[in-house]
Amino acid sequence: MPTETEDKESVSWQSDSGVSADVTRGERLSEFFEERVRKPAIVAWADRRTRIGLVILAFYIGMAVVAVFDLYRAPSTNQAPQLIGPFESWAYPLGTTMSGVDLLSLIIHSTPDILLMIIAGGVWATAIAVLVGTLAGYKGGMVDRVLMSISDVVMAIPGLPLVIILAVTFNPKNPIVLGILINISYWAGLGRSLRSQVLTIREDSYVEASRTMGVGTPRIILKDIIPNLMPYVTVNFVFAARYVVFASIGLFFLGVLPYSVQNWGVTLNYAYSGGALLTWEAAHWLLFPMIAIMGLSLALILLGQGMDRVFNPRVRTRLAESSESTRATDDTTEGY
Amino acid sequence: MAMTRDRRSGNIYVDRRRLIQGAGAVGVSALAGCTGGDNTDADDDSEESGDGSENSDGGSGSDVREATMVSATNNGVPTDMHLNPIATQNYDDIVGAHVFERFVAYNFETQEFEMAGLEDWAVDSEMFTLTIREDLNWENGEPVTAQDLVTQFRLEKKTSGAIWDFAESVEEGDNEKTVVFQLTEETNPQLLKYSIGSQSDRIYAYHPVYEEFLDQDASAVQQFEWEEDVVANGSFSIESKSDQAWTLTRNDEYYNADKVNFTELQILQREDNTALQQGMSGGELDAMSSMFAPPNIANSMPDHVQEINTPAKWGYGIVFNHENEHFGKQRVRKAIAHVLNREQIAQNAGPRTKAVPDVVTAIAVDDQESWLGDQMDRYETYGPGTAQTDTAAELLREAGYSKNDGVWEDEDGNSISAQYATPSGWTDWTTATDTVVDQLNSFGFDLEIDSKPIGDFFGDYIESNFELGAFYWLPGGARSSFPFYPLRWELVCPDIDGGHGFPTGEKTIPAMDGSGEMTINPLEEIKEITSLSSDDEATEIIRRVAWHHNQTLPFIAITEKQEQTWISGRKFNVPETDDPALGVKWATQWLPRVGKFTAAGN
Repeated sequence: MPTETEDKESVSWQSDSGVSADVTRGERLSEFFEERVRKPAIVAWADRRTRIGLVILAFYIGMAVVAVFDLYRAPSTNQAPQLIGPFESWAYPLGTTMSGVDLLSLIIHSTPDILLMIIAGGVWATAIAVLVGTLAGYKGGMVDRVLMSISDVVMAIPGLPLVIILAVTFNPKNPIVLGILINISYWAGLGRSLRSQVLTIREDSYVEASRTMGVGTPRIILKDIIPNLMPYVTVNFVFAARYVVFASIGLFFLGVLPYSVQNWGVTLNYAYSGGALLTWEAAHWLLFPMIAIMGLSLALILLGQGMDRVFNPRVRTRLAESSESTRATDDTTEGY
Repeated sequence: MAMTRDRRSGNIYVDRRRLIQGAGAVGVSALAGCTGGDNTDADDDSEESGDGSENSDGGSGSDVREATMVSATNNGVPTDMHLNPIATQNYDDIVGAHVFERFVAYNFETQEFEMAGLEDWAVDSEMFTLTIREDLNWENGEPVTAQDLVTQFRLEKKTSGAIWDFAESVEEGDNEKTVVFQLTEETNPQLLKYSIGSQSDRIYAYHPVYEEFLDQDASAVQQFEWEEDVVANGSFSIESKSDQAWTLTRNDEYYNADKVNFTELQILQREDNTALQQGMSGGELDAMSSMFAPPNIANSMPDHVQEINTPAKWGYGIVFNHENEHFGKQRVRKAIAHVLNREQIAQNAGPRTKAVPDVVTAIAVDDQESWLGDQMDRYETYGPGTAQTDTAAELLREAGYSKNDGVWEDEDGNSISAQYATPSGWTDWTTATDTVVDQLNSFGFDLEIDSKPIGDFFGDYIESNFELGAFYWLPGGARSSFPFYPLRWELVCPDIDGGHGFPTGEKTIPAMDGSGEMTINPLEEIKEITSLSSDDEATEIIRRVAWHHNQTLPFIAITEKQEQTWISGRKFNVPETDDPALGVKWATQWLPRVGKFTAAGN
């Protein structure tokens, strides 16, 4: 058998980019940079949606930095005359609330907590979902049945009432805990759909090859399966984060979530009961927090859609200009 | 009863009556002319009145118009609500106020009681005698008698009505219009009067309906939902109710019926405050007994909408956990009172609707001058409109605190850190809380707002599981006008089961005249008022206990709420803004019965 003779010549089954002796550490790093940072960045930047999304998001991060380093005055009652309209005074560009709080500083100083909250909520939801989905999908059998039963139960619990009950019981004020709490059951649905993706991937030949070679489960999941799930996971991370924004604002508005400092949702609540819905002189009090919420949500949606392209190998290769063959076919899909 | 049943069993009777009225209108309109008529630009109300014609019921001889007054309730869906005042759950008091006559009416303007369903009340030694108006009748024409009232008070004995703190028994007097209470001991007449004199104290127990509950447990009458055949003795009778609204019709048998010149009252069900505001400004509603509107909304109301402010004898204050290491100290509490700029807090939380007390003690804003009199200047004001930070700093230093890096620390280096509790749904309160915490933190405290749902909020206070926080400093209602009630209330605070842990025993405080000290047992002294029959003797005690509160601060009084009642002159004639009748709560119910809210002509 010819194959048996080849075996004896100690052919390396490992890929070229692996641990071949003549690849230096520097080369490995630069390849890593090329594959994981530069190319995705080029691809991402090439998409208008991602570009706009990133710019908006950078703006919010900028606001958070301003708040964290106290570069703009903190909101405080009676720091300004009451209910100044927007753009009437340069000292208070967005106007003031009925308690004489500068609306701009209120919006800026709410940003860090909101960002922390959405990141915590997004990470929590996707991390648990990836863990549960891949484990259940890859291992199958009893593990699959147990994990899927648990996620079915979690999915069956109505999300919003659960969040309200937990918020009332634990009264958490830490934005990270709040983010996790809001997305406490978000992972279940996502975990289930990830599992079905894993079920198809696990049958792919390269996964089978790894298994045949005796590579351990954690390594297969980490190296072979999860990278293939990344597009889906990233998009869902962004959607989970957006859900946190909406859910938290809604719950703050209803007065269900505890808070110790004002944020956009609480401000909306104050503005609503302060008559901002019915009179022009207070309308800005309602309008600017809403614009802040919409902006962040828009950024996340654009980013979520744009990120899809980063993980699309065809688009990626074409834009990184390493393959001529894909250009012609991809041009036909332009515009999507 | 029969008449009521007729009205409710179908519309035929009503329609026929309207038909007759309509026909009669042709004849009488020439004679009737216009009543009031100072509102010549009022719109025609044809959509409500059907034919918009003027009518007379012929009975009272006055001019009754086919017009509908539209008001609203936010108590709940009418079909779920009932009109048995003793069963407080699901009782719609806004409707009940139109249907049942009150004993007396407390006028917050003149600070006096006006007789209503009662003709007279008298206290003589250990007897309290009520005389019912001679012409007070049920809507079926039967007179309201002592038997009805005796039944009512006996039922209220089962449910611990306020009068039973002082009374031993109740009997019919010399005739069928007098009721006599035998008191347990000689009692301060003021306490007796306030115990039946609040807005919600109504004459409702029609004996044939309520007698069956006399020999049953309290729970029986408290579960009785009076929805069918409600027998009215007030200015309006129940016509019908639906999911959306209550419909009431003018009660011809009412003794002041000739003052009510319109035929129908509709009370819509509206939960949302914004919807109420829009209803009032858009002309859908003619009157709202109580509706909060911030200044910008109030200013945007059309000119014909009139806002009536009456003191709620209730409002935002600060309660301390007196067992806390910091706030248990009198000097710390005094320092807080000095730091706070109460006028600024009121300005933020609602400048039109929040009054600031001059003296920090448990006496309502309007009553302080009359009770404290010429001694009012002696009481500490704690600077209502300024932050007296120097005085506060001195007090904290005396208490062993020192300021490091802008933060006050005790001898062990601990800052005055605490969670400031506030109920999350009450927006005007949370605004006040924001301001209080900002003011105290900028002085060097380390407070954090702890907003909680209302159930947790009360629960934590009851279990003394708090450090300091927002709480009302007056118990509310006309009763709070008599300082006995709020002074005692702040000491024992039954609403939170005494969870603030204020020590009520004998204590030594600075003397009132400014030299030396005095000892006082506030709770014992205030209890003495119950048996004093003269106001002069009571005044002396009230001043001493008020001084105790002023010096020891069981609570800090920040603002007193002003109720906002609204009436619209679009279709109705409304009184001048300085009319003393506006001082009776609720004006929406009181004004029609005294003829000061009448349907406008043409």
